[in-house]
Amino acid sequence: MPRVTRWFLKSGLLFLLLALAVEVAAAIFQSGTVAAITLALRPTAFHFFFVGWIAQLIMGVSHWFFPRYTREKPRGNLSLIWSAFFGVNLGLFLRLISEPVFWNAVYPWRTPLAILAAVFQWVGFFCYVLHIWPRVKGK
Amino acid sequence: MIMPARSQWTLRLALIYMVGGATLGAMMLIGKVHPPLAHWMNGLPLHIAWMVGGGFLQFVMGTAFWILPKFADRPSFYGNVFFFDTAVVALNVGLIVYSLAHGVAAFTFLKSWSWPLFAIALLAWMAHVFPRIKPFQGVEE
Repeated sequence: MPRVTRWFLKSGLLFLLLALAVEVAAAIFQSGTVAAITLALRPTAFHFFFVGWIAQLIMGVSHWFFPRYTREKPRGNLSLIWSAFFGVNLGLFLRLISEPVFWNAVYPWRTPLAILAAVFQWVGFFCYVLHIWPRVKGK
Repeated sequence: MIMPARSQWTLRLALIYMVGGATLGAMMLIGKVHPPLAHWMNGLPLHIAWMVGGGFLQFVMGTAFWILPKFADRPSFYGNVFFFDTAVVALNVGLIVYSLAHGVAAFTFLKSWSWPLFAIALLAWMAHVFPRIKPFQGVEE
């Protein structure tokens, strides 16, 4: 199993755990401060599940299993897949610290952080597609 | 293991939807923090449909067609490909209909038409994939 695949899968498992933790907290605490925090975290938690877990699982396993790029470079351009890994993970981390309280005008630095989160995640997906596209082939 | 043409086309469609869905998602997050672009958040139904249906599910369909056990003793090595083709066509037509209904005001009347297509896609894919969930070469581990 290639190194980047291992990183994708381990990071994915951590995001799955975080997403589950938010949902468990939301189920246990129906009111009060924790309930308000989990409510604010919910859109981020959805992305932890779908991007942090599902998408990273797809990216990591397809990089490992898909047909080789060439005999000399069987897994293609590794800088693209590492960019995908860092883009998605940095994007999700920035999302965690910027999205839940994005309406709070007291913290204007959160706006550029959320924009950076959006850009990082988009770059992550785009690099993944650029990386895997030439490996979608017969053999 | 050679990736069949059907998987290739399905996976390419999935990757296109992933880029489209991720683009909408990035626009929506920017719209959330930048009020003049708040209308970008109206893309939520398309973002979800493109990422989950067009991207992730279609990726799973294409990969499953390629790697699940096949039928060495049948004329059709990959099982009933008609069901698979029906699933891919219904899913993608459903996504187009859904996108028009949620993205273009003139097509809002199509809103209820996409879900029956998604249901056909799921049922056809299940009909294709169920017989292929079996031991490799009929040998139990």
